[in-house]
Amino acid sequence: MTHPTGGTKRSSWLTFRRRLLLVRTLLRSAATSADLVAAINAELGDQGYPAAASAALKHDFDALKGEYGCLIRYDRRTRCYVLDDLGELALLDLPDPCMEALAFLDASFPAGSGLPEHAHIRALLERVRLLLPPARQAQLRRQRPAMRLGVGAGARPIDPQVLDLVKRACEQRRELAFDYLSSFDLDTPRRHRVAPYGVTFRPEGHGYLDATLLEVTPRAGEPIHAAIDYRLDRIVPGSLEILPTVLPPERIPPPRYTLRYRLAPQVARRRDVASYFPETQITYHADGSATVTATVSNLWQTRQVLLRYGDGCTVLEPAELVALFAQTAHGLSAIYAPQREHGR
Amino acid sequence: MTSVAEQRQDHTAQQRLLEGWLPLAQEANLRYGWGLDAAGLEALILGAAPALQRVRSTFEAYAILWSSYSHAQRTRTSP
Repeated sequence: MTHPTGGTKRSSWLTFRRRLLLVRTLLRSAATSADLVAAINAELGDQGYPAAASAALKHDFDALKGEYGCLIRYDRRTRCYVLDDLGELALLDLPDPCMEALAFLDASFPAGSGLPEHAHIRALLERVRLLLPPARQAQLRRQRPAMRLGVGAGARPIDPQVLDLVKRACEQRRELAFDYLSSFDLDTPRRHRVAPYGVTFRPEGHGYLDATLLEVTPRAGEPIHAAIDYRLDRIVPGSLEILPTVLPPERIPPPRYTLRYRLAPQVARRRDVASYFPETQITYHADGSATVTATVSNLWQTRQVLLRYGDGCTVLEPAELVALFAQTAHGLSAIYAPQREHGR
Repeated sequence: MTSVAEQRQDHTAQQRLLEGWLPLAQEANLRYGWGLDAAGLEALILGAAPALQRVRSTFEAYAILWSSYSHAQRTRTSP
């Protein structure tokens, strides 16, 4: 139907729907006017904006600002509209336990640290906060949560392109090659070709690529097909290459080792020893000690886990892990033994 | 006509493909009693490679290998 003034007449419902769609689109991300018009027209078809949409779009922005108190600004640098505040359209409210959970996440994943940024947790939290009414937003700012997750924030930043390519190779199940500077390389990184399987962030804040080693040049004793956790911040930026070879759906089986270690009475006497590894079986002995058996595939990681017991743990097998511990003990002895002798 | 460098690249890509898929093909070989030797397994993988690269599960990979093996058998026995 044509309005006497020449414009297309739309019902107030349609107008309201269009404005909500604008807000919804801006909630997703900042957008140019062309993006906004395209998004509205994709949803509403010929009931969306007319060909010359700028006046209608401006009218809708004015209405959103005037009638609902939305704060929408135009960023000249990016030429995008940005939604800063939903005003009266902040319709999400949460029960108090959920507000507490939100404050917990907010405190546990602070802005500027590695994991929250890489996993987009901050972006999610900011979006949820934006959806809350002003009073609840203020409550969230005041809240000092008693609980928080101890995720390390001091880790070196991960190059965004490294993370992007690693994620893509995992998703596409393709081999990955990169230069890597491990703890054992002095100053020259070595080229690794791996089957990548996923990214894990550990409590200390470092991000790791879980991968199976296929080739390393030059070799330095790493067993081929070993499961290795590569620290993402040690992958040389710009050296990553997603290779054409597509990997089978199932992981290449890494070498598996039967692990057996004995825990001293001061660690095991309460009979509440943690199970850190697959297929863990614990036998408690009358003297308070315990023998633990399990199956592992990553000896380096196993050593890191067992080192937490200090001298309360004796590794009995596999021989390769015993050798790793002997190496560590030798290193520690070289550091501390002279001091002890000096102190006498 | 392909250059020496391209041929080498193709050979490397082929080796890598075989390296990745041989354990699964060997498992299928044992499971279905095909009795293929190393050369037979390599031929099976290379023949099925385009389809294998698109599979989403191990079950699907076995089905592709089985179909590829059956097709090769039929081709061999037909006059």
